Amino acid sequence: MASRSKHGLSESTIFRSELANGTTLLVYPNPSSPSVAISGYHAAGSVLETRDTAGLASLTADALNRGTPSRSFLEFSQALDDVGASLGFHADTEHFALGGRALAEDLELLLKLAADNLGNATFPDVEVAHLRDQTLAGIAYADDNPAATASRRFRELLYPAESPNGWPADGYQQTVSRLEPQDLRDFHTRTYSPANLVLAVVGAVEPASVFDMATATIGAWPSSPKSVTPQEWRQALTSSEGSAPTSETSCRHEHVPMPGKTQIEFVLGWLGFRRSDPEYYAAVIANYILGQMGLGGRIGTNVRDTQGLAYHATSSLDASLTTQPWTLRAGINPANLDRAIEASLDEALRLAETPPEADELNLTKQALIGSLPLRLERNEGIAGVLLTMERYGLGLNYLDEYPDRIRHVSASDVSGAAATIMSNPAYTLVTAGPEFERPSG
Amino acid sequence: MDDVREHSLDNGLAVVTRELHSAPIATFFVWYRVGARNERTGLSGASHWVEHMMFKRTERLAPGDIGRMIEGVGGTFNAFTYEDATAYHATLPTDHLELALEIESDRMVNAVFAPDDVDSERSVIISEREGNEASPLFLLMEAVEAAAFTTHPYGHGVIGSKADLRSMSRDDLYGHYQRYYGPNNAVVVAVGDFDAEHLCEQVAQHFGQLKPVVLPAPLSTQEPVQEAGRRVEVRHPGPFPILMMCHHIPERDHPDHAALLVLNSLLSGPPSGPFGGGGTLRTSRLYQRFVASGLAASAGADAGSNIDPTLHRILVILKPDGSPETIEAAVEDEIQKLHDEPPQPEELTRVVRQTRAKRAIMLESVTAQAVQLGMLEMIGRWQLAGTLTEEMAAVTPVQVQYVARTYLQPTSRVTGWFLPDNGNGTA
Repeated sequence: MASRSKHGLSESTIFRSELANGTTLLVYPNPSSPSVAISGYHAAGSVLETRDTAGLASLTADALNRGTPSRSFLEFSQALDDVGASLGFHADTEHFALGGRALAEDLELLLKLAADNLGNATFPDVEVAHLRDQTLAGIAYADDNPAATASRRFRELLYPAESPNGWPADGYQQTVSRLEPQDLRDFHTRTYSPANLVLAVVGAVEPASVFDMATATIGAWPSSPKSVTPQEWRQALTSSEGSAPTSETSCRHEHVPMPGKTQIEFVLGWLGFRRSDPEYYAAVIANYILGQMGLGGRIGTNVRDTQGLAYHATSSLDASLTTQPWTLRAGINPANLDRAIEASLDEALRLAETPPEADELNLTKQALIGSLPLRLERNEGIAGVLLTMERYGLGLNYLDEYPDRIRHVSASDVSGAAATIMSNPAYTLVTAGPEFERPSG
Repeated sequence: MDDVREHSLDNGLAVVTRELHSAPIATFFVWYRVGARNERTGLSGASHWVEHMMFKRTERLAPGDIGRMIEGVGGTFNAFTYEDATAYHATLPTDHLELALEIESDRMVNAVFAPDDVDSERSVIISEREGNEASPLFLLMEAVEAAAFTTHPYGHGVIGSKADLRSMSRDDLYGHYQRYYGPNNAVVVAVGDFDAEHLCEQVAQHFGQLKPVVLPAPLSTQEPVQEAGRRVEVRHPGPFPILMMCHHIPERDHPDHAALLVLNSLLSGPPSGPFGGGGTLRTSRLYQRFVASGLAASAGADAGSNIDPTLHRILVILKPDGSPETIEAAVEDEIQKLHDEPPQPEELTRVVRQTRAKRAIMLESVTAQAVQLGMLEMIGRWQLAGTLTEEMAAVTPVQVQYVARTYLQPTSRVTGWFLPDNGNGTA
């Protein structure tokens, strides 16, 4: 283990180790807090399912705590609730994730329960049936929400039909309703393995003690020879990539009619960047200027403050191991839809064509660098940063290097990143809400 | 909470501070004692709209300046309005905390309410409301509150009716601002990495010259006692039926409130904050009865904590094929159990243990601590922040049964249903 320095989150204060079964453990002691947070990720997202089984990874993760040979779901819940702790699991497109909170004195309990769920889940028939019904209700609720519906349909159009990036991690009514407990057991056996788990522990803990506890709990989870290897998972990630339409391809517009809704939500966007792309930091700054700063950046100023068209109007940059979308979004009265889309696109193109002035660029850099202490206030936030470092191979000194990575971005880098993506006229536009006359263009 | 300091300026501004040196950040709140409860007929939504206008223009600040000033040093900022109060907050690296004082002392008295800004914000707020209308829960809650409060302003939602939002004038809004915004109707709450004595000096420097306002007479409207149960149905396109069963309960400062919090913890889960929250525990009575059994998609409850008498809410989201009659009868049965039998002492012990842990985790952030102190100070009792768990620990099983029998009665009940109407006559 590394020795500990006095201040900050860096190689000298983060304790990184590997358990005998291959699990990676990251520990950061934060004695100012009475509590502890554990967070983890594992290579077992929906990239490992098929279109016909959309939602399988998510339902499997959600069902991990529904029973093991030694604990029923109720006993698991009682163990947590008795001490006011929480522990949950979910899956997204690329990963399975776990998160737990407790008073520091209950860390061992959290680790013990997590290890039991990860290694020994039995997926009891009745519990899976109840959970599936809850999931179906959740999907129905999302399908009734214009913003969620527009986002879902946008990804379906943006990615190839067989790309897991294009379907919701929760799946669809028709796919989830077909999932049986045995499907979950098979997926669990095929994809869950301690060697693919990265676990972060942050709070009022001693690293050596955490290592011992993790060894006795998570470390006792044996590897399975049947599990997906990291190489196979990376192959699945590569296969899930989308491809940007060429500039000759026309825009795609689609409206999802939702009777009874008053407002239209639109999502307009393009395939953007991977987290590892060289233009990523320039894109982060561009996105902040375009749709984040204050109450929605330049788009918010134009669409909300100046024209008074919408309560929320923003841009959103996603980036992960695979290429994710860069989108412009707003909720709009149908009568104002054309104006809001036009204004948002105008702002995107203005940034793509004209580098930001020094004042605006410097302010944005100061905001991104200066906000680091706020992001590290809570144990959960620190654990999230630790996992980000590990997931994207950023190194344990990432936070020391982060200010320079931001400072070194030039104004032309910013407009260049915006131009790379947003100058492409072949955007994808989805609107969801009441029927309306479609915008031209 | 022994380290919380209380102070006041000659102009009536109250200041509550807590030093916390675990991270180099601090949060600064200004709370105003004005919310939906202070809005007369025709002005529903005025407090929330005024909150929006505070980000527009003062004699010194232009739209967007606040965001640039706060975020430009790495801070975050926002505001919120609820039934009883409006709060503005910024959380910043400690070195820049004074920026928040400059901004808040300026807009406490110098907001301009330019007519053009009012007009553009009118459509923004209507858009916010129309976005809310996409949610069946919003539609149901609005209908239930209107049915529950026939006289008291809690009957209209914080965001206001669309008719009022369309008709309210610039002068209506500015008048609302002038009536309620002043140092003698505000409380500063700051938590974080600062020297409290120095901060109080800075507060005096920035706010000390502001003149108190002549406040309207305190709200005297009382909701008449409900004599019989009420029912309301919202039929609208949607995914599944939702039940919101409410009962009138007393105000936050009532001696029975702690027992109501314990009762609610048994039904749903312990409060993580001063005014509830914390989500539904899987071992709670409602989760076990409705969700674990497969009867419903979700179930929870919330004991309102307001200045005036308010509502206890039980919410059950049915599965698409769920039977409203069965669910409503089952909720009534859970209430009857509370009437019939006091909880076991070990159940109460568990509630207190859960509350203690949940609150310790929740209060990690300076912002959460300031929210707690401020919300409690809006009822004049920030000291409750340090005694909430002890108050709950002192509640006996018989007291829980007593409040169930006293307040969760059919006559005090408002039963609201959201029933999907998807044009085919079926849910």
